[in-house]
Amino acid sequence: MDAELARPAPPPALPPIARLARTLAGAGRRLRRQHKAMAGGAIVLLFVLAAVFAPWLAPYGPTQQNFADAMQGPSWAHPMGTDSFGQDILARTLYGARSALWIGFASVALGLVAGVAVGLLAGLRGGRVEWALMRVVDGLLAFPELIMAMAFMAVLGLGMGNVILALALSFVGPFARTVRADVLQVKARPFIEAARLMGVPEREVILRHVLPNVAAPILVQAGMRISIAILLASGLSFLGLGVVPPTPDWGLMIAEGRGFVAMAPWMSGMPGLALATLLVGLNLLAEGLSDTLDPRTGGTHA
Amino acid sequence: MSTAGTVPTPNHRISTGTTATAVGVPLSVLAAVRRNSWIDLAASAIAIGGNAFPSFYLGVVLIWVFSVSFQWFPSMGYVSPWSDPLTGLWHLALPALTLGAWYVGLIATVTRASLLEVLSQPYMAAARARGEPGWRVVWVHGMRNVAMPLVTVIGLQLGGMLRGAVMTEVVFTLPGLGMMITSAVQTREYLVVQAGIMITALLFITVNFAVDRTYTLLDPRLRKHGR
Repeated sequence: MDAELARPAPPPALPPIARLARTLAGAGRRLRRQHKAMAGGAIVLLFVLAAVFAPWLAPYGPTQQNFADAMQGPSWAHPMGTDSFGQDILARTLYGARSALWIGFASVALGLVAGVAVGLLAGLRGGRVEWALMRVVDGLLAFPELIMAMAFMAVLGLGMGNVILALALSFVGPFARTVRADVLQVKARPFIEAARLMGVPEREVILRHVLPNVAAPILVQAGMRISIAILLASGLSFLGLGVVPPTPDWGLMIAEGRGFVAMAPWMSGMPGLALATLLVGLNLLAEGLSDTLDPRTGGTHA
Repeated sequence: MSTAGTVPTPNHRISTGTTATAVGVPLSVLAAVRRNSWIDLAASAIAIGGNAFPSFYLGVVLIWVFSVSFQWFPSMGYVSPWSDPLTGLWHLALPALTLGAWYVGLIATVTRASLLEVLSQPYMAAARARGEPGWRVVWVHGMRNVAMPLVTVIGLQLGGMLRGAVMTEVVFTLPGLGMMITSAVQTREYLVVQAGIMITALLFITVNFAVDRTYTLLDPRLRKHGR
């Protein structure tokens, strides 16, 4: 990585012991900063496990209805209560982790791939291609993410696949712009020119020299986007513009519970708590990672 | 509906924006000055909570606590604050609180981080050494330098603000822009969807432009080589 380039070279007069002490202090600071990432990682891991093992953990099927037990409060039979259809909320929350995580990862991955491709092309080609691509990106960035995702949902129609597509499309702009800005910086570095002069094929230059140097900030951004994606996806389903009703989805569950707040607050309370916890975990993880990975922001958080 | 729909959004947003700034900035200044004290802890708790609780969920929770349990505030509906100020503000209280929690958190985080950085600068020590009172050092010398990153973040996070506003309107059934777009998408009224999205984009671009212009007002150094 470009840690050596970003930091000023240490003064050469320093005795070895002092240098060692400085390195150790730096490592210690890094480790302490990782507490945040560790805590976040533990929370996220818990949700990933819940999502993977949902069929074994859930006491009932996520769409198994039982009208005799509708709108029951938390009890031993239904630890998180039941909703207005008599569906077990614990089961639906566990399965909801699946849809939330899947939508989050898939949409960010899709948007990342498309955005990196556009950004690389624009940054490396320059000229008219760059101008045209960046104007399209500017156009995409003129819309707030949720509004754009809503527009895409209006065009594409409801359903989980379309939610992923709509979110991915609304992430292309930000990714492309970051990648292009980084590519422009990396492109001007001497080692890229050197590689070109040595006759390294263009594909090799991009894959071996450009891409690794723009990867860290992009991955950090991708990490932060996952929580935004999950937030937007559940927001879309809350608005009734996301996945379709029988699917166990936190946003849908919160929306269903909104009308029953007075009688059954657990209906939207439980899935909302799960959503909030997952978002805290993802944010902590992303912040911790960006503190460690990104040398530019490394010093600001104490 | 499409013409009547746009009025509450700015009202709601202005009330939220002012409240959030009025609460967020002093809170974070206290947090930064008394670092690691309980005020600092409380500020971080609000920041993390406001960030994690999506506005549609926070809205439902607030309805549960303040409308259903305590019955202090109405859970839905909109009365224009212009025609009936008291009832209007009373109806806007919960929505503004919902949207504001996130905003207070954001403003507090940014202000705290940049103020901490500014406080360690040599010119702050110099100002203290000249015998200036502590509040003047922080508010005049410190906040002037915090204003820039704060305005940047407020501008950058406008998208998040709009996101929150759409959700909040739907939770509290406020007849605003977000509500209009949502119901138009549901009923496939594409013209209304288009119009709503265009208005939002226009708002977004205008505010971003205004934020860019603010830089020269806030930082005299940028004025000389102005574009």
